[in-house]
Amino acid sequence: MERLTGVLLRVLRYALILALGIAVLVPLLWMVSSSFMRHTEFFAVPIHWLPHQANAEAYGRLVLEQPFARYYMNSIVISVVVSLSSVFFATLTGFALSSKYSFAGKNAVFVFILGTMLLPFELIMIPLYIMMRALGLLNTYGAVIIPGLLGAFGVFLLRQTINEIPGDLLDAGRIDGAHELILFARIVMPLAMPVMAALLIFTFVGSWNSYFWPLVVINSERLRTLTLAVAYMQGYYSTDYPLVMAAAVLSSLPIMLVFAFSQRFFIQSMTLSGLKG
Amino acid sequence: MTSGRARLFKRPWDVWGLIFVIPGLAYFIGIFIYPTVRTIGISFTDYNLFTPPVWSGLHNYATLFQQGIFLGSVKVTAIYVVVIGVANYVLPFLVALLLFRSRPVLGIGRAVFFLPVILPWVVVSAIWKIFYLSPGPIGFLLGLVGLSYPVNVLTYPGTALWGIIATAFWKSFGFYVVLFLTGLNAIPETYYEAADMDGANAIQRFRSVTFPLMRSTSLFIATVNFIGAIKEFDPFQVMTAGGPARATYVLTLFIYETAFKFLRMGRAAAASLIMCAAIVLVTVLQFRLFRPERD
Repeated sequence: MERLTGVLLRVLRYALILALGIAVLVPLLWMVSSSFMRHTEFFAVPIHWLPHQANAEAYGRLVLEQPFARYYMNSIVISVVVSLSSVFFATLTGFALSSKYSFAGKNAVFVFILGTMLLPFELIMIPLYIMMRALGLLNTYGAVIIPGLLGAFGVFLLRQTINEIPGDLLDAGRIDGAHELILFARIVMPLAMPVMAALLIFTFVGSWNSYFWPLVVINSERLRTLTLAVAYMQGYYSTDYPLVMAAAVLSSLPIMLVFAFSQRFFIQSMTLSGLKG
Repeated sequence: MTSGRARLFKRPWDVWGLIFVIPGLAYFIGIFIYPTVRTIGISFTDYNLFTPPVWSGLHNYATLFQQGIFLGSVKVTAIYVVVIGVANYVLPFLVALLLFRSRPVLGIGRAVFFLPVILPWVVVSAIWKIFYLSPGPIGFLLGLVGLSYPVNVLTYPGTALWGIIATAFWKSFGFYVVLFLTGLNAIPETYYEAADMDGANAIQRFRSVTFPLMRSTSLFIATVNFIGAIKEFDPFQVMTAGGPARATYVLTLFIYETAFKFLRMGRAAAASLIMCAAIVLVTVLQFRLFRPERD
């Protein structure tokens, strides 16, 4: 009896994973498959799950008729700057607020920074827009980048990590007369590197996927990020589905690759975030 | 002077902690606190970005609560937050309980379930907008199990929100499954052994071991889920633009359009403050509800 329920449970598990896996994969595979269809085939009834005559015509049009390479560059520049800056300043701020230092008001500063996680972006968006306009930054990379340069989540994550670095390592360096900046660069950063890498991936993907703020501060077509471009295409070429799907495939490709190579790492960083605190 | 310094910094190098915190602290003040204070100020004015703001007291707040569009957006947001909140709690918890301790499949399953989580919402919206067409892929799949799909769900006020909810669930459930699995893995084996020695059955084990020990995981998930859902903007703007007939017009879309389409900065600022108050209030309530008993 017990063995029977054990077997049943196992069958149920596999069936569940299989069903969920299919439910997740079908729309994604269909995105890829339909991007290789011609317009007429897209509307075939009953629908074709795979193109009968696969062709990359939609990709050709995307690259030749749209400044798609430009959109790519915009997304890359913005996401690289945002993620590198976030990681560096999160590590520095996290080090300052870790157990390695004590100064009056340290905990208050930490709680204050954590509190900013509760503020919805909508709350600060209007003044930020006014600030960007006053600085002449509307329609520039700067406007998109500035609100992403550092996040509370990164500070929290790095502080937790640096707390666990043995204080003796730093004290040994101090006895040798090393400057605190040297300790930061030579001891703290190398030991926090795995978490820094996870945060780098996390903020890169977050910036790559972001849509709301770029939508507010970018009007010019040349400065559109990929997410903006894919959204606009759905409006202007609303029935040219293979084109939209090709754009969707190309704009998710880099993060799919990042994910493929750092999957375990990636999931860990996203889950470690809260459960330890 | 010396004694003041001694209290501020215990050890000579502690001053560097303060120095290192300055850039980050200045950034958070400049990007979060200063704008928050300004938003509060703007909410008491009429301001269109081009002519100087005019003081209007509580008029923006009063108008909001008489405005059908605002109240409607609050209602749509509330439905979305509650439905997706319950769905993202109950179903991933069940899935995680079933997957728990089946190592070989777990790795692959986890990676696959996580794919939609990392994709941009704009891409997910594009896929599902087309998936929901009628005739189209969803209709075909439902046809296989003998169900009919006569119209595109996104084009009817009664169903559009549910279409987006289904898509949002598809996108996010993998994230919550992984969070629940992490929480389950953190429960020490000895608790289950003790329960087994007492002859507890599966349901008793869940009620007396798993569920109580998942309190902090539950709190974290409920909070992340709620804040994420109330801030959700992309699918509503991209999939339906708030329509049809404002059936998917959420609070974030209301704030965005009030500010940047109708240039009513004061009213948008007031609405964003109400939204922030709701976030703080519900988060505090969730902490009360799920707080671990002794901690």
